[in-house]
Amino acid sequence: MSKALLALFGGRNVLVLVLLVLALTTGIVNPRFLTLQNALNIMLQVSVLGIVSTGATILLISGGLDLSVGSLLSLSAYIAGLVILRFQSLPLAILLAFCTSVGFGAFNGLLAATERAHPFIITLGMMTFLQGIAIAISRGSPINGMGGLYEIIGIRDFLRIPLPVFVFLAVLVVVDIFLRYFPLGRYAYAIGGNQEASRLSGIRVGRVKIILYALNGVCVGIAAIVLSAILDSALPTMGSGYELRAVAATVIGGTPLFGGRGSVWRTLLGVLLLGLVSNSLNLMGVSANLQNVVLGAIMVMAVMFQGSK
Amino acid sequence: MRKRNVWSVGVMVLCMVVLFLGGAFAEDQLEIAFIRATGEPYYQYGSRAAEIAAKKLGVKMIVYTSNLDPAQELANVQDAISRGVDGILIYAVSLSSERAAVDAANKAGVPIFFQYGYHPDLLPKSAGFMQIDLKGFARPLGEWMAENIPSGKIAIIEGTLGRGDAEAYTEGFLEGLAKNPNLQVVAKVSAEWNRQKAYEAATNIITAHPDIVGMFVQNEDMAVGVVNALERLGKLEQVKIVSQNGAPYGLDLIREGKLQLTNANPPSIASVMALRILLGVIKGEIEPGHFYWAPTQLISKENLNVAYRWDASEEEIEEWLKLPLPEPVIPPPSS
Repeated sequence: MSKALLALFGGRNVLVLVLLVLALTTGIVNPRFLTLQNALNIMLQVSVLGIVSTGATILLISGGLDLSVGSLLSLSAYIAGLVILRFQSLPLAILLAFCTSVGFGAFNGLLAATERAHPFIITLGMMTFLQGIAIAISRGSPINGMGGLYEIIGIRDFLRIPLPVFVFLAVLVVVDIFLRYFPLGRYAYAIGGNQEASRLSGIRVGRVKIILYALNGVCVGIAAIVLSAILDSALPTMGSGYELRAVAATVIGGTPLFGGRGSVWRTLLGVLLLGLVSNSLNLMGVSANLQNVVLGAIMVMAVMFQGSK
Repeated sequence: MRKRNVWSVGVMVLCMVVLFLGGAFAEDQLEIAFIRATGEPYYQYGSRAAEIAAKKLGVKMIVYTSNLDPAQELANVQDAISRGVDGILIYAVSLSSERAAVDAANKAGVPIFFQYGYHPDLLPKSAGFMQIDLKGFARPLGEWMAENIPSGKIAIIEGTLGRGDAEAYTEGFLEGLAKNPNLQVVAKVSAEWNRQKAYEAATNIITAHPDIVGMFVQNEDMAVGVVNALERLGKLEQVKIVSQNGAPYGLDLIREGKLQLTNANPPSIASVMALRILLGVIKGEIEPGHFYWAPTQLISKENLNVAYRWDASEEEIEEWLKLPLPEPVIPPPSS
């Protein structure tokens, strides 16, 4: 009986089922949940997490991991804010934010490519390092006002859909194409599946890792710009927590931690689950003190079903 | 394919049932979202008092927590608007998310009232702002020391530096202390609002200056650590301590004579007053866009029995509902 249930509800199906049950339950308690405006709210709310998680998916598929993405997001956004504050140049701000995120992303890749330690511990150290830089240069003070970024991306809609949602979907599509059709994308699966075999088959594993971590940095840079646009500000700790939520969303979606499998569309499901749970609990009026209990329980349940596949 | 069709039809039917049932649950009761920055005691006590007050006023209150994450705070504002609340009462995480929150609320026509985080540009777009005057809050504590300690060395244990609040408290305290030129500040240490760090800081200060006679500790959580350290070092009788907040554990220290004076800014009565102002704005009885000082109280052993408690009883909160509302004031020049 239990095997039959697992076969029916295992893997991605269970996520769809959980999403459906949540949506219907919330809809019963508060019909406003089923409005287009709320659906757009959810998409907007998950867009930054979605972009960071898409980068995390690339790394997890290749057997890598980057715990410094939250700190890197904060640092990149803060540098963009500083440039806007000092030079009033939005293009320069965006350029420097990307230089920061891609540069440190590639540096993480370089460290991971040495294989002297697991990326978990390398990027844990980088997380502290980058957070320290962000706090040191900011002295803890936020920057309010991102020089027009708010008006360009933060509050702008296209066809009633918030622009950050389009950015997220564009990132998803581009990364999906990269993983499916580009040799580097295929190498990511190969390295995640069996690094030694990949090396023996002629793949330059170290170089591929550096590029994949740099691509993760691109995603972090985009997320930094989008988040600072939505909030019209930059804080030295604004990315705090994204590293774990991104890994959680990716794994809940069905990309295993040990690499070799996965896709960005699975990650989309994971991200939507996290966003939907939070939105549902808020709309159902569940006590703030209980929300983490429910969220944690749903995450564990989702991962357990994924693991059963 | 057939299976997918069955799913689709099932989902459509369920959605229709949901919409039908949802209509049946519609209520006329006013609903307020209380969005707090974290689940820490200060905000917990604030939301608890506001919930009790809301119940007594026949208003439904939903509490959200932003976990100090501005993105989550904005998501909470959006969710509250989607839920269809009539007003939002918010302890903002920082100035950062306030503009987006105000824009979202204005777009939906939902009044939003801020506790702390005043910004002059946002005042006209909001239902109002309420907060304490940081410098003015600490000044009477310095004045008390100036009057009650004839001479000697004073130490200050500060909160986290860099956000402006700890610096403003120090500045205000020093202004008050300046009334007695025989008092010298010999140590200023940041313990980052943390009890353990305050314990260590007090120990180090006493080691460096064994003849300290007064300490200004910027919150009572740190004051508990300082009192423990001084008790252990046998210096509690020698050092007069003043602090801020009026938390239950702070009032206990006052009762025990270990803390001489505290300036209380109870989140409980402040949230109740903020709720009443917001409801007044929603009902058109109060003009929106005004600034208010949050209620504060200097508490010593002598007036401990009249302190506005963080963990106020239902009866006390009922009394607060009868008190006059704070008058609007001219806002300070900056946040």
